Amino acid sequence: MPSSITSASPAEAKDRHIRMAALGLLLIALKFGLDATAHFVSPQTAELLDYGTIAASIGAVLLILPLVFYKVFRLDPRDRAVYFSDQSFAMDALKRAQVFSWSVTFLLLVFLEILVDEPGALAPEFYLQVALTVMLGSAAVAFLVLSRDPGEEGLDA
Amino acid sequence: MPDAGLENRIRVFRAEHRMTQADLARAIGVSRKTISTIEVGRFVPSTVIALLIARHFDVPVEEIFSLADEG
Repeated sequence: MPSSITSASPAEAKDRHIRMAALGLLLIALKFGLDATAHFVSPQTAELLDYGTIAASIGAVLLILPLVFYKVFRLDPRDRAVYFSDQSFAMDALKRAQVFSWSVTFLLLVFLEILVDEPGALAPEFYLQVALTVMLGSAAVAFLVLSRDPGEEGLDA
Repeated sequence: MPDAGLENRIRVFRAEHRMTQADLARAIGVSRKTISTIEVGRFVPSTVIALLIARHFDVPVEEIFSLADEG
């Protein structure tokens, strides 16, 4: 890896931070997914799932908190314009992932709206947990797929 | 509007100036991945990025970017 990449420019830092935020969103989606699953399992299993939700929550905080710290304390004011610029491949991928997530969530909510009218519907919080799982999970996965690296090509390419 | 793809000669200009993707990215203030995805046609750059690249190589933007149906 070239030294110019290892010494982080604000643009490289931004790309890396967006990826970390996407992984954080994936862990939050996992947390809500486990919460939703807990409605269908025994109390003993639900207790085990609780450990999973705690681990996912801690993981998400560990991924997202450093980004907030960086923006507030570490980001050089001279680098702010580059760091917050939305003109990059990663930001474009993020926007496309959000559009995909919005569409998937909309279809899911329409489906759930029909489902809650059926007899034997579950507690309202279950539907919210499912919607949050799908919204965050689809955005994160779509971003990670769309932002795959085409590979580095140096002078000899 | 016809669907004309965007072609570019960034790799040619990089080779002439003996620059890596990372060098060019740093010079114009974007990430290396942004440059690599523009080069392979996965990402259509904004006008600002196109102009920054052209300014860096000191050529008109049309020398680097062109529509695919221009022949």
